[in-house]
Amino acid sequence: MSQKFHRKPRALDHLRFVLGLLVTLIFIFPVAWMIATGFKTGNQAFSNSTSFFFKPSLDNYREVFFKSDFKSGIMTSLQAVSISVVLTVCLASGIAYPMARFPSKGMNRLASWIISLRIVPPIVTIIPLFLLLRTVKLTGSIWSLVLVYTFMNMPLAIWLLRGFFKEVPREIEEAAEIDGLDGKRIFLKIVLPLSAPGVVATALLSFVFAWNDFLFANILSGATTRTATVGLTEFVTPVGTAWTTIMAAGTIVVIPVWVAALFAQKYLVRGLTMGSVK
Amino acid sequence: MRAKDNSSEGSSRAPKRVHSGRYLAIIPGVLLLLGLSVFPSVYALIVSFQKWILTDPNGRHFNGLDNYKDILLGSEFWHTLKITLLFVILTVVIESLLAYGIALIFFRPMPFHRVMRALILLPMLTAPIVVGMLARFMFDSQFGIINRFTEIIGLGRHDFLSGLNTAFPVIIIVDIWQWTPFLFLIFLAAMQSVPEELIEAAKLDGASKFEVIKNIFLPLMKYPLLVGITLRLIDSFRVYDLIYATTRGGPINLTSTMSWSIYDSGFKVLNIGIASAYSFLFLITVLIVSGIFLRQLSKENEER
Repeated sequence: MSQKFHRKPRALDHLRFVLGLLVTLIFIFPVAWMIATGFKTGNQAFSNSTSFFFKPSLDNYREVFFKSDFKSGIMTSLQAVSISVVLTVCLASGIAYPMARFPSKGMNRLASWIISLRIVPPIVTIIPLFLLLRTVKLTGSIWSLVLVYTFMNMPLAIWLLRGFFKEVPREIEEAAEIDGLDGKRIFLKIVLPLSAPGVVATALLSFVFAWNDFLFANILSGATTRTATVGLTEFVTPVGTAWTTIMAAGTIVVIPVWVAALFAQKYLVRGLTMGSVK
Repeated sequence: MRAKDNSSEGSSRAPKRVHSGRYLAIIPGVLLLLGLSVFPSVYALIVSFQKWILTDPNGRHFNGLDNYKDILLGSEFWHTLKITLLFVILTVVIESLLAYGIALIFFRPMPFHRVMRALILLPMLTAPIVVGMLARFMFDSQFGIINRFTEIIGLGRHDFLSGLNTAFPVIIIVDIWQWTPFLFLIFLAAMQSVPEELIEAAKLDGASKFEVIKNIFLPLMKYPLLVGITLRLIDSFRVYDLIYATTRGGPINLTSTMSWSIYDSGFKVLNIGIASAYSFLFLITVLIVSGIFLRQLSKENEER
């Protein structure tokens, strides 16, 4: 009986491997093509050969960093996104910890309301927000982006953190309470360090979503506060499209996210499903 | 207020003095969420009953239900609704099926298993605007590599993103390429959480591969499957970056989804009144469609 089951999969394993390889190639080919094109000169990219074999050049990266405004876009993104990540983690912890530790009907209702915010499409949010931020003269400043990104990431961060805080054994906190620590200290000295990997993962995922944003940035950023994603589209000019430069810039936009995902990979599934699939 | 409401519940073991400040920390976060959701929503609702074009020197005034009437009686709305629903249904269905299939391939370990799995995730981790620009480059009529392929296999050159018959399918293909990995990751995690013994036991009882999938995988995976599909559904409605980078709603309006159309009337035509009314109709659409799944999800959640 068991012999039969051990033999059948072997032939299948080869097929699975080939299929797996094929699937992997399909999914990485465009990305590889982007990275490769970023290292090509215009002539290499636009000549009719379809090739990964060429003499790589750093011209496009020089163009991106020294001859365009793209660098300032990266700086704007870095500033707005990192401030918002710090803010998100702080504000979300403030909500997530009581939610995890002192659950109640009110808190559950609050949690449902917060997750329902995730359903609203950003284009619906941004019209009134744009008008309001314009009235208080915040459009064109990175603070409008900080606010919007924090708002955008809060539901995710709250739900994730709630899950991580819940996993801290209740007994440890109770022991600390008996030792006379107050709620704030228990959270900062015990719960936070114990759930540090989860908190870091939450921060990384918040970073990814804010960094990848284009819609909010496109509408809210002014001439001096273009983000990296908005800057990317500005290589398209009426005169022509510098494809090789765009591919280099695209690679630059993508690398930090890949690195962040690599560090958070253990929590990726959890993060992408707001903690509902572990 | 909240602290008072809940003081009878929660843990009675906690010392009294922690009690009062227990829910204080939620205030800043909740204020931010309220400030950026409820307040703007009410504002948008008011604006949706106004005639307000930013370039109009006469300013704004209430015009009752005119905006809604204009939208619902025009053909544009119904067209974008059709395009949006078609886009959402096609992408979510195809992505789910593909993701399930790919998850089955990767369910058991094989050489380079982890590396391949990580590489498959790259599209999902690439900013949608970058994917959009990349798609525009690859499908470019002059320099695009796709045209080189089609030429080699004898299909000739095409201007895919401006073609009446090709633009919409291309957008869908790009979305599938980017987001199938998302569902794949969730489905694979779900499959791997199915206890090995259950599968072995079923096999020993002589269950076929199909029976194992139908009777063991699917029931146990129902919840994560639903979560993944629901999230994908909600996000599929949002498609904007991709369209901004590639077709801008064209050719004519064949790729004009609701997200794009609202952006167009709000930030290009600057007709804020119409855009606001349109937003509410869009929100209602999203709520109706995702509501079906969300209800199912909360039912499953109770059963778990």
